[in-house]
Amino acid sequence: MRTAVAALLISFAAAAYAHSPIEGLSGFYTGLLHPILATAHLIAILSLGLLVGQHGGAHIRWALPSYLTALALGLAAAGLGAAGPAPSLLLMAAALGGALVALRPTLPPALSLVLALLLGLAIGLDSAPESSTARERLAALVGSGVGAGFVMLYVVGLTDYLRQPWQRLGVRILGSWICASAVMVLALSLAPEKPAAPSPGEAAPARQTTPALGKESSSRESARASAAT
Amino acid sequence: MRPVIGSLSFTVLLLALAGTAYAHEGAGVTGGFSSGFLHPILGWDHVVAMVAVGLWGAFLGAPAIWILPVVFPLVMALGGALGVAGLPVPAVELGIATSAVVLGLMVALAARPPIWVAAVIVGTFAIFHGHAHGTELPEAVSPLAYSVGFVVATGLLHLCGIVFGLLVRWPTGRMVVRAGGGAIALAGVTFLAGMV
Repeated sequence: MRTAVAALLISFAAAAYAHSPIEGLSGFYTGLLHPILATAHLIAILSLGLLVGQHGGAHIRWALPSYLTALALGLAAAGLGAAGPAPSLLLMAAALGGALVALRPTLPPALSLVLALLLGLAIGLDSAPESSTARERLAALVGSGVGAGFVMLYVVGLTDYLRQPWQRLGVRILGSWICASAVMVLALSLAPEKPAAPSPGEAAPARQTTPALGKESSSRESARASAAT
Repeated sequence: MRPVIGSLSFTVLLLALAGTAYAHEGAGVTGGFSSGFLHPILGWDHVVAMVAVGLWGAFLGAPAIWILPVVFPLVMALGGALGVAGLPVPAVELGIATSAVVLGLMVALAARPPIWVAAVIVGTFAIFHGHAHGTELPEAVSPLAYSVGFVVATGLLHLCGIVFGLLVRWPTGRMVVRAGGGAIALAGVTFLAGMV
């Protein structure tokens, strides 16, 4: 009988996750993975990294230090409780950066600097951790800084390294993909919400007095959330 | 009593070893990306048209071979945005099936129009394809991941067509590519016939 009870208890046991937004991880590692798992952050970093690496030279020298500085400032502000940017801001940055990479106009390095400053600040502010203790919050902020910083460094470095014509073309295609992905979700998050269609047998006027909680609204919330997380 | 306890223990042990069943696997970013990635791939009308874009690009040579894969996603995004915003585009499915016929014929006939004509033809069909994907986007678990998934899948289908289209460098390969275009046009005709 003891065997049966023991086996029963084992069957009910589950992995313990202590208030972690990513199951099984907390603190530093949660922050480290945040720029990779938050799709809006990832494509925004990718677009700027591709843009800066594509132009190389002065663009890299100007943009990287300003990005890292702005990222640190944004993370510090987020740690002190500053509000994050509008969720669609990162998508706009990704769309703009992707379009510039795809079309490849000649750009002054000052533009890369400004974009890097804005993006670093936005990503830092949008990386406020949800940890309960101050120590975990600090660790998550440091992790976010390391993650967002290294992803940018890798993307810029790799893009600058790619010099063959077909590799340069691949970079432009990636920019086009990023722009296209961001534009469609921007359209979703900026489109005016429609009232949900009345279900069969339900009177339309009664439906109008009820807040729409159907798929339209939930998907838009999801779009905004996906941009925010 | 002992055999009963033994079998009970064994049963509970089996239950403990059983894994979780996922009827609708994939949620969050994964579910959004995978559903978006599969959307163009699981629709044959999308597959043949996107491969035809790549084939035609390779057939036309530079600069079309690189202009089409860069421009197509951007124009497709406009169609997708129309779909997301709920703005209707007339006869979307007809346009997608027609795209397979027209693009397949362009490859089969070895048509080499000016690059702007090719861009207009491909761009027009990109609107239809983008609209079809875009209307599904609001239903996605993670719209951004869905969007990334279907754009990447579309681009990879172009790449399949471009790589296959590189055979045009050889006389036999040129015939094979043109035959591929003919097969795509025929597939498009069957899609059109299925709608009638």
